[in-house]
Amino acid sequence: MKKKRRSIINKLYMPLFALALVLIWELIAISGIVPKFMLPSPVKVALALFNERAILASHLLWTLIEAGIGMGFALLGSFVLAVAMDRFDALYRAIYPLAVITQTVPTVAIAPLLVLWFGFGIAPKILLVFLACFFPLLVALLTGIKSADAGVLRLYRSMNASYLKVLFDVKLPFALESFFSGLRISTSYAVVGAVVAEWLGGSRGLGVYMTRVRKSFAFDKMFAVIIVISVLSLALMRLVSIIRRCAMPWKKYEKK
Amino acid sequence: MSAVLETRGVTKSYEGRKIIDDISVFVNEGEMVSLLGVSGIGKTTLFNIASGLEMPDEGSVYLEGTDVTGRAGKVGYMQQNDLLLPFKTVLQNVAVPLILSKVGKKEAYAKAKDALDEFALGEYANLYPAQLSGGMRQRAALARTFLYSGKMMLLDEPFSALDAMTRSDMQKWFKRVVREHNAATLFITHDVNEAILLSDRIYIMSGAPGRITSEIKVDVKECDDADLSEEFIAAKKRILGLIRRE
Repeated sequence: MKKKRRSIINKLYMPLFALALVLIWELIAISGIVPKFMLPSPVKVALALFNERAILASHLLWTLIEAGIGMGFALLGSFVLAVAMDRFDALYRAIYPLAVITQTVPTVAIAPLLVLWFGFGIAPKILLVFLACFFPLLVALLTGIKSADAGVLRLYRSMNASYLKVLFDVKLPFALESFFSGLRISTSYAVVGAVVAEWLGGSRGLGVYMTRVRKSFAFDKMFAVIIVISVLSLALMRLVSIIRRCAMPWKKYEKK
Repeated sequence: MSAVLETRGVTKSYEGRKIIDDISVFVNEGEMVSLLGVSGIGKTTLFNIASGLEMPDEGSVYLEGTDVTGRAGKVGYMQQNDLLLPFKTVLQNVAVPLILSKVGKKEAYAKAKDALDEFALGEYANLYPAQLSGGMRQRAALARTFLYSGKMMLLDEPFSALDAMTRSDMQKWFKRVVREHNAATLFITHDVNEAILLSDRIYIMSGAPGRITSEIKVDVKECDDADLSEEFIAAKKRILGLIRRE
């Protein structure tokens, strides 16, 4: 009982602190220390969020579509390449070091290039999301595949199992853990990737909305769209956690 | 009578260091044979060769008179850990060898279920390995090895990960099941008591590189306190004497 109360109290620290921060923000905003147009009060942001909800929702949907398509291609591509690299060692040796290095290239930096090459349509957005997600997913999948228990692999070999059997029975299931942590990171990359690509031009999406309200100095709407993007990322990560739990039902029995 | 499994003059080196030298052992039908020796003597190396996972530098492996050197998939091989797949249920784990040998899913699960019933795991069929105790997991792994090949089983310290009480129960139970199926087993152990309780014959392995230095026939009557019987103690004295002499 005491333990339970303790854990409830422990969970309260964060929301209380967050609430305190919002209160301080509100106080600063109404005190006039910072000009009103530069720092809108939380109440004004909430109002903007409410008033703009229909527009925000349509832009959100568009960003989500771009992120979804890009992510879909990244999932498909990284899966195929990871399996090929596992099967053919030469491929692994050739590509893996490069895949790790490319992770240090910030996607934001290549976005302008993609816009120059592919214009203002949906293509550069999808491509940027793809690039942002593909390599983290590939590395996560490969790490996972390589983490398959050596003893189990030997057991399967002692039973004369084919490569495909080993892949689907042993390697991929063992890779799930690492794959899902890669997927979790990738979902936030996907959202950021789509928004950044939209900044550079386009007619729809949260990034486009953001540049528009920036140009009209509508700071309350700026804050509103930032909140929407954060919530979207969080919701997607949460979704990944839920899928992970459903995909790995045995996890809850394993001791830490 | 020809042996079910036989190795002739098996020798193996790793990186220029000879691990096992000229090992010739055999197991007859329905016979329980153990390979006794300290850790690191090369027992597992011999098993990897006997199961076809590795090629010997010299020598051959025969299964019922046929040369199967370097050919995997002929005998059941259970390694030290239970090696159950954490993401498969107990039933799915035990059915793995059947499904790999292209038995239909339905039939494989039906057979696996029977095996689980026999190994007293029937009611745990749909649980994950993590939900079982160590002894139960080991039993499931044995059931899986059994389904792969009830004819010839190689068992690498199958009970070493268990606590003493569980181990003793498992040994008794295991002996009964093996006898009922007239299965041939060759198993590795470094526990003298276990070797005496579970075998008809014991090979003692020692030296560097590992060689077979003695072979002993065991004849301990099966009863509840077999490990307190005179035959048991006499056999133990003999073995300990042989090991000390090395």
